[in-house]
Amino acid sequence: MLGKLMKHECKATSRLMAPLLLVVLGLGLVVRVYDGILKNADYAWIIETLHGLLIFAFVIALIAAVVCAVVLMVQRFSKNLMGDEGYLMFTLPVSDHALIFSKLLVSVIWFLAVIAVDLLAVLIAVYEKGMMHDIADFFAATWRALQNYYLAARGWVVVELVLLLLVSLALSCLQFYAPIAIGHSFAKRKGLLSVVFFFVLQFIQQTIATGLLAKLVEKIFLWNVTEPYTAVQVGGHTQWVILWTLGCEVILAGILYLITWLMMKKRLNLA
Amino acid sequence: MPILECKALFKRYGSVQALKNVGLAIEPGHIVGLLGPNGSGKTTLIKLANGLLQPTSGEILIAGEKPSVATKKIVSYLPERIALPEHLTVKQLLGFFGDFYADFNREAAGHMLSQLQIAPDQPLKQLSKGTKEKVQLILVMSRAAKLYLLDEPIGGVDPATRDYILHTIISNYNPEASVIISTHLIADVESVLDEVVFLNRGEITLHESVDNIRQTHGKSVDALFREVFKCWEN
Repeated sequence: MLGKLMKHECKATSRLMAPLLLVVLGLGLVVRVYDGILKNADYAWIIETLHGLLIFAFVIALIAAVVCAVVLMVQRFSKNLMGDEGYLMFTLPVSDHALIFSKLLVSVIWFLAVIAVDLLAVLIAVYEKGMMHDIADFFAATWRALQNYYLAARGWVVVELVLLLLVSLALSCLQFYAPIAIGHSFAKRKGLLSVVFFFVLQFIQQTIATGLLAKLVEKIFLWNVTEPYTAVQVGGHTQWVILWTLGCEVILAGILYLITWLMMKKRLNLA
Repeated sequence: MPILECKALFKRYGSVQALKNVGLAIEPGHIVGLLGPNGSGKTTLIKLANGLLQPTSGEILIAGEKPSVATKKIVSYLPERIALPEHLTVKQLLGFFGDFYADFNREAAGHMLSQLQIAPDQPLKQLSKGTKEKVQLILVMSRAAKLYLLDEPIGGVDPATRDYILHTIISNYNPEASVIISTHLIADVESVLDEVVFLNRGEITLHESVDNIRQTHGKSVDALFREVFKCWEN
């Protein structure tokens, strides 16, 4: 059933996101072509001005893709689950976990798509002959450099960084889901209370995060940074920071997920 | 075993007691009218049966089980508002219901929709309110469920549409199932009901067969309802 929910969620969200991402890629290509035309020629100022506007539109499109993905994530959760459509969704023969995960996973997929498309669009816009070769060399050099710091564990570091990215994206969704679920458990002023609880939860998270950061800084200072470290030692400490951050984010995501699920299970109050 | 059973069911919203000590048992194969004035607790009871609300105390059981994923497979629910995603076309809605409900009869639903001349590729948002309600009803009644919960199916539509809705309910529901119709428009539904439940301020004040009411009280259900829920003294 999770697959079916995700299928329908993808269909509902791709109506907006797919054309938007195509526009971003298209603008990247137009910028590249325009640059190619302007490069070796001396054109009137109006052409140069148009070029500037084009670059501006391209940058706006890059940002808009990110903003739209976030807004859509919030809107899909609040409208499809907490609004009138909730009468349909919560009476489907699917678990509350499936309902939450379908929204969460599809949102993360779109965030990854936006990151990939934005990067690709920028690459297309700035592309020059030989660039791909330079990029490949850069990644190869980075992979070799990782060997110095992480030895055989360099593959694991990449995995940990990917996991950290995925958990961070999921956490960014849950930071909206939980306050929306709490706010909509009230009879009135659901929207306003959702905003209030968003800031309340953010305040709590920031307070805890400050405490955890202090612990992390304390540990870093214990490493006695004034003494010279080997590359492997630096690699070890960096990996520790990555795992510490990953662990904290997993715990926080778990807490916010639990809040979201409990609100939906025990305090669902559709209008 | 009753298809729907309530045992000492209470539901409170803050300081408001929406349902008080509700005890009810609906057997399979009956069409039951859940009748009461606005605010009597009809929608609350239906929401509890669907798992959209949790009881404050007591129990509500569907075929002997608490509302869960398993009971949602056998309950077909028509909410009092349009709950369908409006960006979907009628054809996509058929696909949606077919994906999630094993008992959904897509051919029957498609046939009823074509009788109403509703184009399958038309988005729901382009349809009138009455047509949207008909689409929603057709989707709900095209399932071979064991319990149909219809919340105010004929409120807010014209008399011809009411007749169509009642005709669709009667001619499409699974005869071994029970249908619970919540409404305050008694005269329109009386002819299709086997039993009635009167709900007043969260309490059940009457649960009888329609035939018994006519024999015992010598009046129609509509007349009895008006007498029981009279708003002023003569």
